[in-house]
Amino acid sequence: MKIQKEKELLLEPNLEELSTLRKEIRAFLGEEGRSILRNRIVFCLDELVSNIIEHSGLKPTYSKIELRLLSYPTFWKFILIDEGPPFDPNLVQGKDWLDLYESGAEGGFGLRAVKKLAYLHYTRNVNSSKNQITLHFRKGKHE
Amino acid sequence: MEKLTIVEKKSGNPVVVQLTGEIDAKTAPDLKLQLELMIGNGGTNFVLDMAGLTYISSAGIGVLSAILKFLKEKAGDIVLCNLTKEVKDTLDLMYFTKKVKVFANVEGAIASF
Repeated sequence: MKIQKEKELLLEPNLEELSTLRKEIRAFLGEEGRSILRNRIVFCLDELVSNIIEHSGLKPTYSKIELRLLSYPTFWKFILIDEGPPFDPNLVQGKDWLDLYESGAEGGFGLRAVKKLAYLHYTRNVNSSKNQITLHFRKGKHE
Repeated sequence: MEKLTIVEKKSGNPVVVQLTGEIDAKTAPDLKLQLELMIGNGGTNFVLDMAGLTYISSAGIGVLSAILKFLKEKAGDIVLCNLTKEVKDTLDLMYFTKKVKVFANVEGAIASF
């Protein structure tokens, strides 16, 4: 299927970058699709990048987080690449929602929420020692 | 950088706090600090006016969840009002709207205490 639009972002592994990330994603999505869906896409990518920044141990001077944004006629595709240690988010078995709230936990909500919204296809490139996560979101009637 | 602005609009019981901007992993610690300061000044019941809040991440939910638990143990509470549909959707997604009361406006939220 033909790509309608694409964009590549290189981010410093620094929390200061998050607002820029969201701004760039919103600009890429434009007014296409419902605002709720656009916000969910921004949320998923913001959470995944935050997770990399906070837990991968990447150093801003040496590493970048790469995000490829692709728009096809019927769906969006996002590819997130980082040089952190191997981390498959699908293997994380965190607390359930009730436990999170009852314990007063401050973390553990994000990845659980992202996995409610999107299937995360994870691969580890052994040659380049990079993690890659791919997400798809349908456009149109099926939003 | 999109900032988070936290303004105490009314002190007393309840404390009304206006949140404007975006809450993410960078700004959530500021929210926690400011709410803890207000609690340190005697606040136990809080109305969070989110009319100007355009984004909240899980880090924001985590802070609110932890503060809510702390306040409930002291017979206090947090209620929310003026949620945008995007922020409400994020809170719904994480079931936080099942943990807190949500009101259409500040007046209704204040009257709930």
